[in-house]
Amino acid sequence: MKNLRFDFVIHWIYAIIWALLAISGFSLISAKFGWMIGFDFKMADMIHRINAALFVLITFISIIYEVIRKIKNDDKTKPWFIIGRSGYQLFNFIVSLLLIVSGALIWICMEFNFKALALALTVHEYISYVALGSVIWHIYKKTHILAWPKKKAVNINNK
Amino acid sequence: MINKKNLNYWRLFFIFSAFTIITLLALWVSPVGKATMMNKSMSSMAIGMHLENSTVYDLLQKEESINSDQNITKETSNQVNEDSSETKTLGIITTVIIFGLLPLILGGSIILAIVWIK
Repeated sequence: MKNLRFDFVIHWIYAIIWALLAISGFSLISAKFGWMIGFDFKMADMIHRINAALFVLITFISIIYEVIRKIKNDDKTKPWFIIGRSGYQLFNFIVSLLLIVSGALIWICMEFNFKALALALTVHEYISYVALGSVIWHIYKKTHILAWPKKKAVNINNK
Repeated sequence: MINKKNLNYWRLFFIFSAFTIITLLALWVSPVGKATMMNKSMSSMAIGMHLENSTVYDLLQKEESINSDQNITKETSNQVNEDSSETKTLGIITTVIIFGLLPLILGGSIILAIVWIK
């Protein structure tokens, strides 16, 4: 437990929030995907809103952590971290920002500007498809890490 | 031939495929809430209703007149909001988190972009 790393914990909290956002979000996109949440669109909406707030919170914590690391000149690689300056971490950071901004626009424009709402919805929806595809690819490339480390056999004769 | 390195991926693939098939079968056996507007996504409907023939200028304008359909939608959503005070409280908390942190996230992102490029 004492060896639990911050980037590892953040990664899995983020993954759980992302999965809940994806399930609730895709079931809200169109009625034909409503089966994912048993056609309970009110519940899907609530789950999506709560997890959106958590998603924003975890993104904020990650950004602050990364800024503090830079201030402290800590250049250690954090392979589990959700944001970074290159590769999939950078891609995930950009996609997260786009989803947050377009999601916030949907939240605001729902009340007064239906044209901007339509644009924000379109951006949010298509970026979600890209994000889903990228996550499947990410899981494909990285699942070998999920293998539980085998304990080394203890040689009794050496004791 | 499946690469041994990706064996865990295929395990996950089959587990989630099984979940999907079971859910679809369960809904097929007892279709509780069949929706009618099945073939359009939310964004394609919104584009058809609001965004056709619009300019960038229109996107920035606050709409002055909301037609009767939209009034009905607003009234319905207000009723839903008033259904439960818990939902309302939850709405306020999530809104405060999102819009309170959004400027900080954007600011932090700009700082990181500058630092990473250097």
